[in-house]
Amino acid sequence: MAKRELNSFRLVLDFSLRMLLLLSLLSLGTEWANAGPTKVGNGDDGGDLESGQRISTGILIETQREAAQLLRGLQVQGIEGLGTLIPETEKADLYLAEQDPSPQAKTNSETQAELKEIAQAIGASEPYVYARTFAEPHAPTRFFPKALLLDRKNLIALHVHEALHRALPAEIREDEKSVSRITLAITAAGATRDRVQETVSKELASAREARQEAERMQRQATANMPIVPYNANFAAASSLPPGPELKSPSLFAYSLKSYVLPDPDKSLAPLRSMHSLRSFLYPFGRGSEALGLGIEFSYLQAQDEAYLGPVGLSGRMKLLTWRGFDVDGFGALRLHSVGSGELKDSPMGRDILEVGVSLKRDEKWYMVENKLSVHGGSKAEQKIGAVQYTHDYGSIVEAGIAAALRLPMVEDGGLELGGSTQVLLAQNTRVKGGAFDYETGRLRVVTAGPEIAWNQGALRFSANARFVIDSTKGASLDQLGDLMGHGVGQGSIGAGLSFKF
Amino acid sequence: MIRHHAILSFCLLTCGLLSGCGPLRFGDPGESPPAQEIVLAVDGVKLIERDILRGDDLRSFQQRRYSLHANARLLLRYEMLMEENLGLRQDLPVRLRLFAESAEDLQIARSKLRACPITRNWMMAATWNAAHPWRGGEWTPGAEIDWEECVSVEAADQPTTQLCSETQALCFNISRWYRLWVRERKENFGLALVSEERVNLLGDASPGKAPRIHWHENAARVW
Repeated sequence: MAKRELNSFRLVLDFSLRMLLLLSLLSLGTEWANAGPTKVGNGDDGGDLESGQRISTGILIETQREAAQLLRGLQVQGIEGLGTLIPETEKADLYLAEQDPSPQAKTNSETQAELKEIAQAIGASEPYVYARTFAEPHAPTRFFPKALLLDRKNLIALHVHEALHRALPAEIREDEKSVSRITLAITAAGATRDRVQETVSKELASAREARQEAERMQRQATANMPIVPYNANFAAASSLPPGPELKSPSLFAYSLKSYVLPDPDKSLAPLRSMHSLRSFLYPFGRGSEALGLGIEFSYLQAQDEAYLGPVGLSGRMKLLTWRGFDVDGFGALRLHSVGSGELKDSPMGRDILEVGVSLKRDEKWYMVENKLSVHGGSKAEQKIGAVQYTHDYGSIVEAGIAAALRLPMVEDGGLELGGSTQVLLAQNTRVKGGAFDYETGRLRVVTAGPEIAWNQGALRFSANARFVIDSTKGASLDQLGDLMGHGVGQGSIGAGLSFKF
Repeated sequence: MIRHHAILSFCLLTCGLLSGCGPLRFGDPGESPPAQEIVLAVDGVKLIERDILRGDDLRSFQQRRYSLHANARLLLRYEMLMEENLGLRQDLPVRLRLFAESAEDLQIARSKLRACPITRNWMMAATWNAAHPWRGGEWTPGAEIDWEECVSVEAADQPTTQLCSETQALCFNISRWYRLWVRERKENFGLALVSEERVNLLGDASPGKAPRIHWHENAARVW
């Protein structure tokens, strides 16, 4: 049952992501279609389309009708991508230029290759510019004097070819190779509707794949930008590594946090500091779709003793890049009850599952990241004397912002000045044991702090601080019960050293 | 004749069965049923002292001995006293029993030690300044206490149970506290032992002499 629910969830998630990707592609496609200079069928600047005489009789008109008849015979109107080919063929205004186009075009090797493609497609013996059109619906076709030397069969193919530039979907109408192959499929001896349909489908699929690959390359290029590592202070708050900088995404890090404790009689955990050793590796997947998995060990220094603290397991994966922002999904499981006594027998001894989404933009001079996550509720057992207490924590919603200014003072690194702030909203926590029964109500804790870091190649050294700047009266980080995620007391001062590979 | 024999046999059999199961009581309707004593160790024993700042300080619970003075008080609570299935008899006293560490402590306790109702809920992580470490846990330093309802140690010459006649035993009659707080207000916040003069009491880690609560229930009849 759980597996089925998981599969359903994955299907819904997969569908949502695909829809998001599709919408972004559509948006990009629209932008591309409307942006930049208008291309012309044969790939030049279209200057020679600005003159000529409209024609209404003659072999060009006759072959125009014959081309339309050929297309009707093949019933191309029912083929995906060719729905407007017949009207584009038979209703196009035809013009005859007074002279052939400038010979400068022949010096362009790309144009020469295209002319050969066209010549082969229409069955002409010489690669000349016979006709031109704008690659947009309802544009006229302009013929050049050389076209009058072609036979009827070649002219029919030429009409079809030019009409294809206007009728095909935008993603392939300007691809001379694709248009030529479809022209051949339509005008070849023994052409059938099935063959035409097969050719068009193949060309469309190929074009879409190419578009997706271009998208993927663009995303990867964004991810591989030579950026300085992310803001470690923000990660310290979330205990998660940065977005996948897939050039060298894996991370090995040590950090130390010294807690600023509240009054002792309001403290749930008498901890002075936490040492943390973290290894975050990207062993699965490839490119920008790699999945990172991390393990973190902590060592706690209490007032008069030290012991092994929580163990963290975490994962992170980039979901998509949207308008320059990396959207990452992440999850973390912090296991506090791995051993008996010590931390387990305290209000902090609970296991926590966190899931969230991060939106991040990395540029050469700055970095900004927004994070939204939810920490699940769980219970901690504590025995004081002969009385057993149960601390039933509610869930926590966390919204955070981190930003940093980068000063690339050396070739492979530089100084980074930044800070972060988090708003934490914790649902009610109930403490019950013996005759004692207490509920905290909803708690609000707002933290903020600066960070300064020096990056040198794969190494990064940082110093940071984080303090409670606002909270529900009397609340501290202790009462969130998330030692590895948010720490304790009124905040912390910390330092870290990391190595990326 | 046969019928008379049958009736006689039935009566003898009935009496025999009843007497075989136990004493045959017809009882006085005004007479209270017999009571049995219930004595249970107090599970919530917590020392609050001005110098002990942390609620989980190991010196503040499960100790063999507690030293009380002007800046150190002992919070006591039998945590399950609110349970409605306790068949506690209202007409008989409820007592708290402790042991002084020495004869000298016994003398001081008889004159200085008082058991006072606590007026606010607390947990075992309580300190001199806070009833609990959570938000809003601060309380009047030394615990919030109803000073007017404090009771002293029962006089040695008062008729008490065997429980209170042991050597160096100290008994408090807390029946009024039970009636006013637990029964009527449904609040079991326990009692604070207060002494302005230093006195040493045996704690919850002392086998056999830990603080105990004592009450009576109706005796279970054996038929």
